[in-house]
Amino acid sequence: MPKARLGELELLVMLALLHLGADAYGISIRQEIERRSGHDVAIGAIYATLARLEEKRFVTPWLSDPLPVRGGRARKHWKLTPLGERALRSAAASLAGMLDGLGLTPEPRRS
Amino acid sequence: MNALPVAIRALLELVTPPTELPYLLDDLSEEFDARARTTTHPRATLWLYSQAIRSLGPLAMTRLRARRAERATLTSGDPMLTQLRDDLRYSLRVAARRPWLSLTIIATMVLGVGTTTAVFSIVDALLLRPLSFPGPEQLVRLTSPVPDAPSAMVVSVPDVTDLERTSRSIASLGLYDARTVTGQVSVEPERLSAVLAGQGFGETLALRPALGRLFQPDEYLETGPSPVILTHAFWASHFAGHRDVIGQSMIISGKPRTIVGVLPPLESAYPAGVYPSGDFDIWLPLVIPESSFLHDRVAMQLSAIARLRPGVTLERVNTELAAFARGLAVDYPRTNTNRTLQAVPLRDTIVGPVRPMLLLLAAAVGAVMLIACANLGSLLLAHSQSRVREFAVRSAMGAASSRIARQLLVENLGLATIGGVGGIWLANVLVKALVAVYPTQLPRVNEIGLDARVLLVALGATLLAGWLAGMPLARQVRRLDLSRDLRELERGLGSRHRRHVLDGLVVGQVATSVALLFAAGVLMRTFLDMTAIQPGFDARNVLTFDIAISPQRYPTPERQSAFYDALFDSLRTTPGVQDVGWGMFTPLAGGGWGDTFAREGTSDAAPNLPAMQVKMVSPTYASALRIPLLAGRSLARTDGTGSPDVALVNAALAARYYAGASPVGKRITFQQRTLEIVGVIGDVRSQSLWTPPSPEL
Repeated sequence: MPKARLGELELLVMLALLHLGADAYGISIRQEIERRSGHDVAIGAIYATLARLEEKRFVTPWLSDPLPVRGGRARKHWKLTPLGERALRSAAASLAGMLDGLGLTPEPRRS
Repeated sequence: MNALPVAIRALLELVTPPTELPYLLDDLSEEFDARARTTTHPRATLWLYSQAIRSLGPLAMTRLRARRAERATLTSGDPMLTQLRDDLRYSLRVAARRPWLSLTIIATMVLGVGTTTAVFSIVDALLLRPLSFPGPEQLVRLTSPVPDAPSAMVVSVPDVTDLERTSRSIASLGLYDARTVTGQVSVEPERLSAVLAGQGFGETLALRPALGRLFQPDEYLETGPSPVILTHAFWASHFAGHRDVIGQSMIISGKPRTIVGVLPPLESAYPAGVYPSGDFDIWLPLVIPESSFLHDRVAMQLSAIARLRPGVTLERVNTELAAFARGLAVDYPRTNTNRTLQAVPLRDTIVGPVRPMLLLLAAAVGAVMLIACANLGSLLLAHSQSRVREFAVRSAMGAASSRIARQLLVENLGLATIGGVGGIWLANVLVKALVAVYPTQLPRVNEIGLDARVLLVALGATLLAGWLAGMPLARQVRRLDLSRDLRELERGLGSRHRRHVLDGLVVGQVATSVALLFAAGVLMRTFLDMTAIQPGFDARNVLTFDIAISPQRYPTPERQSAFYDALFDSLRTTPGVQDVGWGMFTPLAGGGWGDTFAREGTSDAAPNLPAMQVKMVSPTYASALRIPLLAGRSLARTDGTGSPDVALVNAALAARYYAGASPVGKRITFQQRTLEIVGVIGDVRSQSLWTPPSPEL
């Protein structure tokens, strides 16, 4: 398997998965990204990204128990695979390497 | 939880893989609910739409990628398919490089395939497809042509009853009529078209009710129960298809009737006497009371259909009917002299009048299609000049000429297919427009539509056209001669062979154009003839409507008369209304009642009584329709019940039976009553524009 690089949105989605843990599903991922990064991402883009990541075997879905509040339907949750974790770690390392010594301060976030 | 708007659902459904859709919708409505709680509803809705629209792109991309991956696994390694894919891709590039030529080809194809398909779908529904009754080829309509009303399709009740008893070729027959009645399902009364089905009518058509049953023998008796059968469409629209309608009752013409059955969904129009094609609502049993004048052989009022025994041909039944009619004429000379009986295939009686026009139209459209193909062929051939170099180079590099020919066919078929799809769309539009413009002139109108057969024909037409148009060029390429072609290209000449093909195309085109011109001329002529006929009355600013009053609420002639007088008085005083008249039949709609009469002071006696069509009208019928009064006076209101009986005759009757002398003041005997002719009015086309006026009273 060739070493795949991660796009920005892919990176954001995978990081959101880590943050959310067992609570990661479509809309919660969208909200998490918006809350933390300020990016208002379309839900369709989240789904498309998840599909791409699944193709690369970086994430895998699991179904929750049916929720009584939502008409008994299960939610499709997502978690990182070991392969995905490794890819994320290498992406973080390369990002850190690139940022090192630049002293970029984050701009104050727009809400 | 708020339900998401339909538009959002529909949008997302387009691009989202079906397995993901429910999750996506759940997710969206979850955040939408949260937002609706914390901000305002409109803002939440705005967010929802922005989310949905921005989601379209990424989702569509995902889908495309998935499909492409699928296709890659499908086609890799298959040389035929890969080549075809290459051909297609190359064709697209070629088409894009010469957009005007491509658009011309597509537009020509759209027109050609569109008109061909539209006309075929009409021809198919009307002429080719059998009626949707079981065993349709054994169904005939019985008619009893008499001089003076050769096109009337009605029969007399005793004639048919005798026939049913003795006939060897007829398995079953049924009388029927059509009528408009007032029906009441819920609160509002409405006007319903009813088939009056005689005993054996439904059985002859071999109808199997979808629910319940057909009428039973005792229900045809005056004293029997009062049932009603619903047509499938009426059942669906008025009872929402509930299966428990059987046994319910509905009020028809003031009388409660029990619903005993629902007919199967039928594509074919019910064969009805008076209406060319009928969307009927209900069936009522045809009850003929003992005292009815219909039991007199003179009265020819009802229509009849019959089912022939298996194996009986039309010739055989008609021979038998002719012999039978001769027998009747001997037994009942007063009424049956000159009266014959005939069986006409049911389909012919339904589509008969439009058949020649349709065939002409089909031929014309076929010619248009051929011209279109010839045009495309010469267009492509002319254009190929610019591609000779390309072909020469390809073949020099080792491409087999068959490969190049196939490439060309793929190009043309590709364009033709695009055109064909457009053509099917156009056909759909055309057919809908035609049906909307001529709902009553076209019989079996509810059967017309695009179905698998029609689409197959469209597909065939498309492929044939693509192949025909591409053929000359492809043939030429097969005979590719590198050195000669390149040399001729240098000299700027087309090859001799190509010029031959071009000449052939031009000749073919001229020939088909001439044929088409003739066809168009004939069509035009027919149309002009049709519009040039004077109907005999002024249809401008005339409105018509039908009413039927309940015999229960208006039992006596006096009360009925009072009702009509009151109605017309109030209509006449309505602002904008100039004239009001009523009659049993409106002009051009057909209908009428044939009878004979005797001229006073002449030797008129059975069986040689003069015949005529009788219409009952109100005093103002003629003036409301602006039918000219030629002699004498018009009817007056005082001519009604209780005063001496008077009549108007039309010019045709005056000319036929009074040989130019004025009939005004003459007396005639008709149905044991003596009438005085008080006036002569102009002829009106009663049956249709094509039927010449016949003597009328």
